Amino acid sequence: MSLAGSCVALHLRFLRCCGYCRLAGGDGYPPLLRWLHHAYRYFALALMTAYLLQQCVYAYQEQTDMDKLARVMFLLLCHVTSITKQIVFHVDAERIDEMITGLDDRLYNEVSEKQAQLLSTTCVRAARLVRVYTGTAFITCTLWIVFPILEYANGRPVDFPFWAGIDYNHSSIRFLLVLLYSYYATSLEGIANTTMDAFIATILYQCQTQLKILRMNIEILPDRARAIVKKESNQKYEAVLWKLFIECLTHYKKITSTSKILQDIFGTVILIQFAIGGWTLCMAAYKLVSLNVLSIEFASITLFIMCIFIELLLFCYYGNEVKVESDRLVESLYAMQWLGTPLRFQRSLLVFMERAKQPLRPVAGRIIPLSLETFLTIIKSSYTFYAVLRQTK
Amino acid sequence: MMTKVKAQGLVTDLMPNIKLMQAAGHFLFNYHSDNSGMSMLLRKVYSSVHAVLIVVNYVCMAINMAQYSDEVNELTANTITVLFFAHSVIKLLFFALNSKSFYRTLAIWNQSNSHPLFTESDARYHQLALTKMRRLLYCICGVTVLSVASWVTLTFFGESVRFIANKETNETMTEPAPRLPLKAWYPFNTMSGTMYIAAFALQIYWLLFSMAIANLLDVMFCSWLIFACEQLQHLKAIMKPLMELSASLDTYRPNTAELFRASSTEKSEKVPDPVDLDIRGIYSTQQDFGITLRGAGGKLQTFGQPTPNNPNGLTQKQEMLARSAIKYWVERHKHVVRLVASIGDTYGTALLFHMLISTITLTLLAYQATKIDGVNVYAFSTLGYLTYTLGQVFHFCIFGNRLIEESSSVMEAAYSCQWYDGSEEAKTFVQIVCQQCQKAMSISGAKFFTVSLDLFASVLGAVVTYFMVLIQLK
Repeated sequence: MSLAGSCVALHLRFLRCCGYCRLAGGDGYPPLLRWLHHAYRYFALALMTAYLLQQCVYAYQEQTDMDKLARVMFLLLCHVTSITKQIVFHVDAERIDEMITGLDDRLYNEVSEKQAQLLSTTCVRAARLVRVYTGTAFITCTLWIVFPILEYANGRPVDFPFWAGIDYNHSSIRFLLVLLYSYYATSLEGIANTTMDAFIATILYQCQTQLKILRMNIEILPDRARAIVKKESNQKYEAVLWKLFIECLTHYKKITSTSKILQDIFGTVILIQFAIGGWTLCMAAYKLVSLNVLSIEFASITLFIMCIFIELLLFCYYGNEVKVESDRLVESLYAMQWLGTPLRFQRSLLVFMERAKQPLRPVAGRIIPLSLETFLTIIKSSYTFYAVLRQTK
Repeated sequence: MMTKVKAQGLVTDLMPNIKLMQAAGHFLFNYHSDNSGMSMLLRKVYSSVHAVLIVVNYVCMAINMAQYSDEVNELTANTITVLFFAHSVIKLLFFALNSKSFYRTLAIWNQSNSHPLFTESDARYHQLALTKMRRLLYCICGVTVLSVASWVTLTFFGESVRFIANKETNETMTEPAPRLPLKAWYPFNTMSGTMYIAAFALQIYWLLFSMAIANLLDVMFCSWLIFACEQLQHLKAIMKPLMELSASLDTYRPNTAELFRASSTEKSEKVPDPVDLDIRGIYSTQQDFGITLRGAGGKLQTFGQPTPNNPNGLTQKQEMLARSAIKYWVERHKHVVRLVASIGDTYGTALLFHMLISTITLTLLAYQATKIDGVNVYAFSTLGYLTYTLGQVFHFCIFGNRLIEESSSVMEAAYSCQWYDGSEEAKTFVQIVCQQCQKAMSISGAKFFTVSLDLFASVLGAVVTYFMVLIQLK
């Protein structure tokens, strides 16, 4: 895999193990393995849908009990966002593959030494992000199975937040089965959900890095042209200048198209995530204040809140970074030594500057921009919901 | 080892501010004339002692807040004070951690380009910037001293009590507290005697130094913005002569000699060496001394051969001066852009913290303001806090706003000069500059918000809204 493409390598490995993302097209997998993996993916989707339905039934049954309803609702909402993303990965698998192979493009990977360092830093940071984030989710899920085990061990009745259809309180085997089912479903969902979020954020991060590289190339464009002419004396300065300029233009077009594909595929999902994320935050906070500070449940709910927080922040932060970086493109175009270049080149530079004035703004669902202002708005709204909920208590 | 550090650029201009910051205890160890090991150690010890005293007293205040947190009014008042002085602690730490970034910004203007025809304008705007920076510094120093004086004076009025909630009857009682400017927990008894005087003296020192620490850093930030604005003014002012110079290269214009006569009698009569045709060479502070251009009685003096295709009969030297003028303008503008970017990178996070804390403080102050019931100590102290906090926010918002205005008005200046008479090169130059200037240069608080008067208006609006709503709820 190329340097730019390897930033999502770890994410794809996790997703393929969980059965969310399909196997890569070009690799030499035998057709049987492909078919099996295909079946595994459908199994994962069926499992998640079944679990969601079970939660819905439970929510319907317990609609009068505020506490239990809150407990199941925030898990349910989380699963809704996770399933929407899973469906997108199924339906749009073709385009996702296209986007990933697009990262291996020559334009993204033909870089100088300093820029290669930038790319490898991106990879390292992306890998770290997915490990930390997915690890937190996994720990949270593990903590959640501790309470049922403790309660069962103490002889108290256990109440799983989904409709199981069987009575598990009086039989150890049934209890174990239901427990394992719950553990498998929630951890699969937790790991896959966080990895998918990290995947989207990493593509945005890669766009930002590519923009940085583009800006570095632009700022020294005439100097690079001069160096090439000095090395290969048969080339003319103006021709080299022109070639490098067109390369920068094509690079910019490629970055724009990657960002656009990402937006097209995941735009609606991110919008749903924002809407539900705010609501989930306030429900979890509502549950949190009624718990004892030193209990394990408090710790697990806090971890859960942190996961949601980070989920929202990831998109907003990286979207913001892409916008900021593309805003600086005009400055970089201005900062190059354009004074002294041929007039024809300066006029083309003007057209490029005119295009670069439109910043690359990733939006969710065509309306809501991914930026830090959006993040603050969501936090404020969820606090308002929470305050209102407290009043109705 | 006595090495003289040559102060130049921004450092020279901001030297009084830097010296005051060093006196107040900031961890600013550069820009001293004496860099020997012993004095460095002394300075580090001085700053550390100040830092320790400030943090320790701050922690004492926080302990006091935690101790008396039962009664709502007492808690609110103590929280406001603690948040108010959080600025100082944060700014002290911020500078200590980020001093490299500050030094880098201060060093950005160490080497600036110059052009013989524009040195007079450059010097004039530089002097303007200097005057404004000094005036700002004196003003803020005066305000700081006045605030400390009025705080200490106000301590002697009113009852020196604190509110306690009586747990059985749920009423608020008053308990006598030491008559000190700040409520803090001390390990010794400060009600009276020598300990009282010692605590009082400590608190006066603490008030003065912590306010100075926060304010001086803000003054430095605003001074940078003043400098950038005056540089932009200079660039706008020389746009017109620049266009005329460029026009003189290929259209006939009367009185071309006037263009080449610089008003100042000093160094601006020097011409750069025509051999050094690589235009990068003009980007330097040295000037090659050549023949003067000033003719007697405004007549065009020709030195050497006039270039054949020049309708105004300019010499090669004059033509080069004209061409290099655009280069000077562009390089100077890029330099200003770099300066503003560096300022934003250096101070952005500090502004974010400042706004966060100020927002919470102002919300609590709006609540406190609803409880004012007459002209007494409480009213004065609440209004004092309010004015001071709003003043701090206003301080950097107004300079941030001026930067935005100045940088976007460069485009108007470019358009309002006679660009149609300029050469093709000049017209393309105007176009490219306009592209860059359409996006105003602004300082952002770590990408969360832009520092402008809009920000101040929204903060003020929020405070007034909370106040109105709370009054209604009473």
